[in-house]
Amino acid sequence: MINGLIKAIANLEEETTLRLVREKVESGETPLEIVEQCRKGVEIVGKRYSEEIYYLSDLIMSEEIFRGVMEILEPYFPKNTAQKEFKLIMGTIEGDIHDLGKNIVINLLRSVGFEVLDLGVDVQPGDFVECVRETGASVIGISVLLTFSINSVKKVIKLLGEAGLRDKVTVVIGGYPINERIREYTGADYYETDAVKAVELFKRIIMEKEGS
Amino acid sequence: METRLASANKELFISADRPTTLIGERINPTGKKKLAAALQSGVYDEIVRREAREQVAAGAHMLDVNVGAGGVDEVALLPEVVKTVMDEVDVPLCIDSGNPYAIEAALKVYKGKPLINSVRGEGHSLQTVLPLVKEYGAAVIVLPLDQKGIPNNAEDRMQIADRIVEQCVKTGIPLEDIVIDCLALSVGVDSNAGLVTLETIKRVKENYGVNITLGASNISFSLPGREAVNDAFLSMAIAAGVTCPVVNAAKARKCAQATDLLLGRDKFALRYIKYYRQNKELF
Repeated sequence: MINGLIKAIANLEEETTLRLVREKVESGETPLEIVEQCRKGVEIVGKRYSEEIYYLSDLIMSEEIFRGVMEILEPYFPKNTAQKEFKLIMGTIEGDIHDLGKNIVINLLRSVGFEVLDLGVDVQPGDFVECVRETGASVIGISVLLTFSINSVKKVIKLLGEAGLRDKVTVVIGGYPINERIREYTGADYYETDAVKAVELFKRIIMEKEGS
Repeated sequence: METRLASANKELFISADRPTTLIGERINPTGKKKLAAALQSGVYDEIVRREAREQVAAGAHMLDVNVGAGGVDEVALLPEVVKTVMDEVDVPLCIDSGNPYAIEAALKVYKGKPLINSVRGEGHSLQTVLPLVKEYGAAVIVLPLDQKGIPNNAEDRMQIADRIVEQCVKTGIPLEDIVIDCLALSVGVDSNAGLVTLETIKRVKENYGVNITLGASNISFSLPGREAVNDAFLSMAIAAGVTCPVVNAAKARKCAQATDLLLGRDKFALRYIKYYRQNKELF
């Protein structure tokens, strides 16, 4: 069922969305119920983006609206759910500063409810591994556009092995130049070059991990 | 400030009192599947020559050459493609790679004085690229970004630019051989991106007076109707101080020529009218 709130977010109507959220809070809906509706709205935005009805700007706008919603709801959440468990780590590899593709994938993943820790750009191989150790994340997404940086991706995999973490972590690489040959060369588990397909891939990986 | 570049037989001068220099962007496989596949397979001669010829015919004064397609050995490929382009057209080239070894290999075969694209504000890039620029007497594009990425404000971009320019001067690269890229990011991602770039351009012009470039088409990335945004931005950027944007010459030339006329760089509109006469079908 598509209610007014879902529709407002899907149509990127910021003021209407925030007003509806306030009204729902006052009428006693739980923050989780409200977030779920918003998530559905953002999911529609993601779908429209993948169908090329919406553009990247629209996707970012939906995130902005969602942030506003979370601000309103923050005080109503029970304290313990505020602690976030990062399932997914993402970053652009050392030597590369292209982040648009990575950001699109992160936006889409968040829009379908995943917790993503964004390490930013030019991330040293050791920092990926350090972050896995600190957060216990089980999936890493590495974005790489400059072919010169592909060796640094290989290094991440090597360092994960040395740290004894390789079996616990699934590594996905993505970016314009990536193909099966490069995946094999780096030793990553999967690769994807299309943002929407990448999100499907991450969903599958995480579902398998949760199932096992 | 005047930057001199050269091909085997021709000199090119870039400065703010001359018409805008257009650097053709199309020999770059990013987002171009056909060119990428050609570079990967090694059968690129025809497509590279065609892109070179067409861009120069469309009004490019220089050509950027980038071969960074997935899986290619840039160190081996970049000098070969540079040779192919030099053989096809006689304009100065912009040698574009993130790999200093590929840049060096291309410098070894280049005839004339090229522009190196690019050096960034972090140790490895500075230490490897600047000595090459000095050794081969080239000019260099400076990117005001560092390991933390592209700053989202003009102050931070200027700080990085300061650091790089200082390092250039220490290395013995004269100011006129430095071209600063003020970094255009998509306004489809951040609607303030255009303002930040324009502000950076103004400051670079005031502080250094050096020539300024931009990957101008980036501004409209992810948006529909890109040409309207590209043209409006190119005009503003040139008015603010950009002298040698990297563009798709076939699309940007009309706008650049009209802008040059409006900025008093085209006496009696001679260049503009000549361009119109020769390209009526574009108007």
